[in-house]
Amino acid sequence: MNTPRDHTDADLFQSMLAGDEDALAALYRDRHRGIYRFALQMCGSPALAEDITQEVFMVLISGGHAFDPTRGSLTAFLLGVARNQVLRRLRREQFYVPVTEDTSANPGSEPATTGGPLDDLSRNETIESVRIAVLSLPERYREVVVLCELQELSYVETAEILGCAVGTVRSRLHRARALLIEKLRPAREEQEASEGIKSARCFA
Amino acid sequence: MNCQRFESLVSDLARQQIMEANVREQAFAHSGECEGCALRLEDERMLTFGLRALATEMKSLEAPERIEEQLLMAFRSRGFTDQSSSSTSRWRYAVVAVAASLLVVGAIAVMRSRLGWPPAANPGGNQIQHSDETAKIKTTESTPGVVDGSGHTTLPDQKRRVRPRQPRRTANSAINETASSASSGKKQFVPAATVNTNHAVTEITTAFMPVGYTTAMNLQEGGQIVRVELPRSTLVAFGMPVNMDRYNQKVKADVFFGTDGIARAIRFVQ
Repeated sequence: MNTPRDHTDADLFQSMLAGDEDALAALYRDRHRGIYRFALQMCGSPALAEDITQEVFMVLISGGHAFDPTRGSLTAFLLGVARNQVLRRLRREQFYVPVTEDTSANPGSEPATTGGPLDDLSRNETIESVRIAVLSLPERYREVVVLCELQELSYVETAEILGCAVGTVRSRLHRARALLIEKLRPAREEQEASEGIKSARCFA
Repeated sequence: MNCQRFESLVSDLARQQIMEANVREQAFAHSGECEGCALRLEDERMLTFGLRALATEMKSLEAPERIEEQLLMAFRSRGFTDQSSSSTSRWRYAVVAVAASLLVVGAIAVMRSRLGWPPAANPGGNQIQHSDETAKIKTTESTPGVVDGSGHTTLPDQKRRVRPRQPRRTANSAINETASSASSGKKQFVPAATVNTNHAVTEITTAFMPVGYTTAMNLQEGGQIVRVELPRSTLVAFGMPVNMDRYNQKVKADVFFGTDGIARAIRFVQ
């Protein structure tokens, strides 16, 4: 007997439109993480990311007839809706909450330890610096970084979501990375300087 | 490979994107020779490392379970709503379609009545036509008269009947009858009027044409018809052709004045 998980996205989507609750649950469980992470990486607020995630799937439930499988994937459709929701909320509320250093509020967000405490601290600082730098980018650069670098989508997939040409995605990403390097350069130099001091202490 | 070309490729190099093998080799060879491009590539690699670490860090993040529960609750309630709303919307579309059809039919009927379409055949060519609207004019104390649909004017007091006359066709006929006024979209009014039978025997008249913003309501108030003489150039103002040889001559006209003394309609007499 086929379970909802054995079906393709198109089959699940059609089943959902026909009123199959299990199909909706399967679609949600497969897709919601990517949507939530995208929203969180764009706005930096877990509460706002939750709202946007819920809103995206409500759009799928109520306005799902707008999705055309022949025009693109369901992932691209959902991320496109999420992008519109994020931009609308950001422009309306001019909402930016820098991610706090308290990682205990986000379950499963404990940093993976690969080495000693210094390595962990360095890695955490790097991650935090990068996260803040991404959130500080202008929206049109931030979204290409989030989609291409953090969501690990291809140029083609990103262009489909943003509704622009692949060349536009490449040029925006190039410019966005240059901006990130400029933002992160002072932090990196400071970090390298502090690592030098710590190393000196180790050998003292 | 120069620095400008390398700059366009450095992001893809750091991200290990797919590119042509020879292009990749040239780029790395250039970075080995150019210190500035080498530092640039190093910056890009460090950034890529940081971004991938951030992506890995956030891979485990997900929305809380209550979001799924709320969505399923909304889906269940919407499933019930959709069935009723779809039938309601179907009724709505049907009502709109019927209303639109009635509107179109009504508009066509009004147009046909106003334009007198299909046109009545008249071998005489120039025609005097009386609009059906004239049948509705009320009688007044001073100027009673009712025009029925066939063009007969009935005067209850005088018990006279004035039949519309067929105009004689002449080569120099300067009066274009109702056909031209109909084509110009002018309404044809035949207000209740006192009739001079002496004139009616030998005269050819056009239909009454409204002057200014006259409406049927104005005509129903009653009034008087006054015979005047006007320059032939007046015909031009009413869309009627003028024989330029007789441009400076006078033409007779019957002007209908309302109870307020304002000219409401005019007809030209030959």
